[in-house]
Amino acid sequence: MNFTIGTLLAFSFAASLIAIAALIWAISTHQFRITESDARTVFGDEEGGKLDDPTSPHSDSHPSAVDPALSPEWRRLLIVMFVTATAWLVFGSIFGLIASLKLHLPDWLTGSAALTFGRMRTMHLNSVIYGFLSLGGVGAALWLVPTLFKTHLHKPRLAMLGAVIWNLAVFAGVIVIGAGWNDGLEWLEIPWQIDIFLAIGGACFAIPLLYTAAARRVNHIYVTGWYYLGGLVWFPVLFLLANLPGVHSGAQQATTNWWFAHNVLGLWLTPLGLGAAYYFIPKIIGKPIYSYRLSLLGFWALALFYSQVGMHHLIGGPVPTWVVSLSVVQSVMMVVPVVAVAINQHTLSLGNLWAWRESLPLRFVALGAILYTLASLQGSLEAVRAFNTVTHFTHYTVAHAHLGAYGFVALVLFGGIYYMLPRVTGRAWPMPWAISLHFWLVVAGFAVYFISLTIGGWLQGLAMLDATRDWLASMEVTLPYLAGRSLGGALMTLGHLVFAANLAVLFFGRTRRFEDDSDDVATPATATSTGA
Amino acid sequence: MTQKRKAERRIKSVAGTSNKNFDPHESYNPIPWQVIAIALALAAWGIITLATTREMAESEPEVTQGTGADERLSKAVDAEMSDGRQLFVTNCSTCHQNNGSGIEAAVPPLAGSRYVLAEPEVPASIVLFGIQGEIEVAGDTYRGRMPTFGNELNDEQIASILSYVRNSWGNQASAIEAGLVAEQRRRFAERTTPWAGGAALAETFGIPATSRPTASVATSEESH
Repeated sequence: MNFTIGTLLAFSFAASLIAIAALIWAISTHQFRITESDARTVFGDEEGGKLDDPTSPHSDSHPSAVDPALSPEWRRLLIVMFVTATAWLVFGSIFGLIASLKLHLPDWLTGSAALTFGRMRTMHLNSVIYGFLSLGGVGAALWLVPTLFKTHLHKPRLAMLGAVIWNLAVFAGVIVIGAGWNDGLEWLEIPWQIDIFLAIGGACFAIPLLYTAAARRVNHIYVTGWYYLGGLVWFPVLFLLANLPGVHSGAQQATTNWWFAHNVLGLWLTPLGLGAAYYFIPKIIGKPIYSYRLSLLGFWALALFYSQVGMHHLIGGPVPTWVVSLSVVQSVMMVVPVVAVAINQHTLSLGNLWAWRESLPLRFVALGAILYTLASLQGSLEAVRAFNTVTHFTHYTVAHAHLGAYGFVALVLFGGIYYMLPRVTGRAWPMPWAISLHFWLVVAGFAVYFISLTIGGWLQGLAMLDATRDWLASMEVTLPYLAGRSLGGALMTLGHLVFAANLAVLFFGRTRRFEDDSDDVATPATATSTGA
Repeated sequence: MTQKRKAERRIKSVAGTSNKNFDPHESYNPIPWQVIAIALALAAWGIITLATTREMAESEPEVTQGTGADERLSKAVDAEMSDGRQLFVTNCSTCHQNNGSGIEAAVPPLAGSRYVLAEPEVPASIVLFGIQGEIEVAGDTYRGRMPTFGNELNDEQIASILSYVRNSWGNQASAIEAGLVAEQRRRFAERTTPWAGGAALAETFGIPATSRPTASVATSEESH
C-alpha cells in the first residue's frame, strides 16, 4: 500500500474515533471533575428555578435597570454590534428577495449590472453571513463571555475598533461585489485585498475576548465558553488559509473552497449559535440542561469530525475518490454531536412547554436549536452519495443551507438580541406585540420558503436525472416553487423590518425605562463598572 | 387581572419555585446508551465505507479511461508507432477512448472491429469521410456521427493512425501506407458527405452490414 495523503487522512479519521472512544470512556468513568452544578453556571449568583425574560411581564426575575457590570464603553460596543447587525440583516434580506424574484421574473430590474442575479445573490450572501450573522454572533459573545466568566469585558475600545473596521470591510466588500470585482469563489467572493481588513477586524474582536477569558473569575468554563473559544480559534485559521492569494489552483482550489465554505457554517456560525443556545435556553427557563457531561461529547465530536465535511460538495467532481469518501464519512459522523446537543437542549425546552408560551425570546432560541438538529441530520443525509445524486445542483441544497444559517443561527440570534438588549440598554422593548409579529412572520415565511424549495429542488433533481426529458424541463418544473420561495422570503423580510422598527423605536422613540426594582436587581458581588 | 395572577401561579408551579433557597438538585444524567450505540454504529459504517473506497481505488477495471489507460498502452507501443499513437490520442480517443473500447450505446469500439480489420481501403475511407447513420459493430448497433477527417489530416497522418489502431488492443492487421490513403482520396474525389452508415459501406466495399450470418466473411477478414 502506498503511503498517500489519503492514508494520512484515513489515520486522522481513526484518531478521531479513538479520541471519541476515549472521551466516552472518560466521561462514563468520571475521569472529569465536572458535575451538574457546573451546568448551573448560567444562573450566575442566582439559584435559577424561575423564568428569566426581560420581555415577559410574568418573569419572576424582573428585568432590572442596566446590568451594573456594564461599563459605558462596553455598552456602546454591544449597541453598535447589534444595531449594525440588524442593518445588515435588512439590506441582506432585500438583496436576497430581489435575487429570488429574478429567478421567476427574469425581465425585472435588468437595467444595471449590479442588479443582475449573480451579483444580487452574492451581495445577499456576504451581507447576511459576514454582516448580520457574524456581527450578531460576536456581539452575543462579547456579552456572554464576560458575563459567564464573572468579569467585565477587557479592552472594549479595541473591540469597538474591530466593530468599525469589520463593518467598513463588509460594506466595501458588498459594494465591490456589486461593481463586479470579486475573487470568483463561493463564500470567498470578497476580494482578498479587503479580506485583510476583515482579518484585522476579527483580531480586534478576538483579542479582548481572550484577555477576558484569561481574567475569568470562575473555576469552570461553561459549555457556551467552549464553543465561543473554539470558534475564535478555528475561524481565523480557516479564513486566512482559504483567502491566501495565489496558493490554491484548479481542483485543489475547489477543495479548499468547499472546505472553507462548509466550515464557515460548522466551525464559525454553529459555535456562535450553539454557544448562545446553550446559555439562553437554560437561563430563560431557569433549569439546567439535561446532562452536562453529554455536552462535552457534543463539543468534542464537532471539533473532531467537522473540519473535513465540506468536500461532499465535490461528489462527482474532479477530485480523488478518497477525498470525497472521507468527507462523506465525516459528514455522517456529525450525527453524534448533533444527537448529543439535541438531547441536552430539546429535553429541556420541550419538557417546559409553558416557557414557550411565556417567553418570546425562548421561542426563537429553542425553535432555532430544534432546526439545528434537523438541518444537521438533513446535511448528513445529503452527503450520502445515493441521496446527493438527486439533490446536488438543485434548489434542495439552497433550502438546506437556509435551514442551517437562517432557521438555526438567525433565529437563535433574534431571541438572543431580544433577551440581551433590555439588559444592555436598560429599556424595555417599546412594542412587545411586534416581537410576536416578528416571530410569526419569519416562522411562517421560512416554512413557506423551506417547503417550497425542498419540494421544487427534489423535483428538479429527478427531472435532471431523467434522460428522456429535456434539461429545460428541470427548470420549468421549479417555477411555482420559486414563486413560493419569493413569497416566503417576502414574509421573512417583512418580519425583519418589524424587528428593525422595534429596535429603532427602542433607541429613538418614546421609551419606557424599567422602574427601579432594587429587590430583583442582580448585583454581582464585585460590581466592576469601569472599563479596562 | 385575575388571569395574570393565574398565569404567574402557573409559572411558579411549573418552573419550580421562586424561592431563593431553591435546591439545585445534583441530578446525574450519564450519556444515554443510545448515543453510544449510534456512535459505534456510525464508526463501523465509516470504517467499512472507507475500506471499500480504498479497494475501489486500488482495483484495475478492465476498461479504463483517462491517463491510466494511456500508461498501460505505452508499454506495447514501439517507437515507429508512437506518431500514430500520439495522433490517435489527439484526434480519436475523446470518443473511442485510449484503449479503443468506445462508449457503450454511443461510440463503437475499435478493438476487434470488423471495419478496422477489413481491407485497408475500408478504414481509410471511413477516416477520410466519417460516418453518419446506423452501423453495427461487435453485435451492437450505433447511430452516431463520426466527423470527417479528410480535411484535417493529411495522408501520412491518417495512415499512421490506422496502422496504430490496426495493431493495438489485440488487433492484428497490416499496416497502411500513405499511398493507399491518397488513392482513396482520388477514388472518392466527388464525395462530399459522410458514409451513410454500414449500408453505404456494404454497397461500396462489399463488407456486410451485419456480421451474424456469414461465417465465410469472418474468415476472409481474419486472413489479413
